[in-house]
Amino acid sequence: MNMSPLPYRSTPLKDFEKLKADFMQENQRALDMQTLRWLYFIPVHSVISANDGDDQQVDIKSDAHFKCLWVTGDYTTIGAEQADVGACQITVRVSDASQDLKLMNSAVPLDLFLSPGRVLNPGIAGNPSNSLFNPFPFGHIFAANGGILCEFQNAAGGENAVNLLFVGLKLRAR
Amino acid sequence: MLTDAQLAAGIAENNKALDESLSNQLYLIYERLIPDSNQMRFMIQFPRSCTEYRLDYINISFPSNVNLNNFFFVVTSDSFGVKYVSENLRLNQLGAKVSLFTTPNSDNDLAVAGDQKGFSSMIPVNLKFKGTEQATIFLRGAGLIDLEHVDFLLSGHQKSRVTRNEGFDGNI
Repeated sequence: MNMSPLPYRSTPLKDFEKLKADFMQENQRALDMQTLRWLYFIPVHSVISANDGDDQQVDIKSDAHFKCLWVTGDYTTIGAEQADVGACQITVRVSDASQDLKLMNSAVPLDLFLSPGRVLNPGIAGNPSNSLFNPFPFGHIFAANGGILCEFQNAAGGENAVNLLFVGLKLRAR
Repeated sequence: MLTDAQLAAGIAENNKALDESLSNQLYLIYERLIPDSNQMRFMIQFPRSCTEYRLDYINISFPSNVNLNNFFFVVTSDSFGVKYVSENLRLNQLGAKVSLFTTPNSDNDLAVAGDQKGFSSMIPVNLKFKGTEQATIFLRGAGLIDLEHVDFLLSGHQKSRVTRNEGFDGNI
């Protein structure tokens, strides 16, 4: 039986060498690009007393801008007498500190945009959040030497904790 | 390794991205409404300083066990000559979910301890509004009056004539 040769059998060896060189060059280029843009995570943590507020600012270092793409986060829902009431009563207002630019018109309840959302404090009975993990788009470039300012307010009768995670790229600035 | 020229070009590109972002800024608009009838609306007046607002997503949540099938959601615009940009969109078809996050007021509320479901899905909208334009978000549905409140979060970017020290007020 006369079988036609498979394509790779007909590819000259010198073409494979060229392909290999091209791939290696492309991979090296991708690696090099990481000196200009690289993945970066900025966590913000706050423990807020009952019926109180807390401001947290994370400074952006001078080496690079931070291009935020997503935000995720969790929070506790502790009410009076350390009971987990399952109700989010924490709000946040995020600003670009370098420009004194508010990115929200007012403080926003965390449960409206944060995922994974509610978590339990250790030792407190209750069901965990059953929300799907769904990062919230948060596209904004924070300049080098600037900062991310988070103004939290806790309207609950108990102390609550918040974790935000800003996910994005560092853009080399110098 | 990148050459010095490639490095300089890359840094210049990054700085240009920052400069461009100054006139295309993220801005979230939040509003909590208390229904007093089975339809509710709120209006956003975009200021002159905002030449364009690109609305990407709307999050809606309400603490209730009301069936989302009954709800309709409309975004209207009074410019571009378009009255109804989208009409009669059922919330559940768009992925909106009940978000249980408040202290229950009655036995019918599902927001009992431990029952929070937390997150309201993003409804993709992708509409553009001009500065000075008025946008209206309209919600209609049986049982709406029974809701304790409805939360709206609009997520988008503003193209602004102003750069630093000013974000526009949602002016809802």
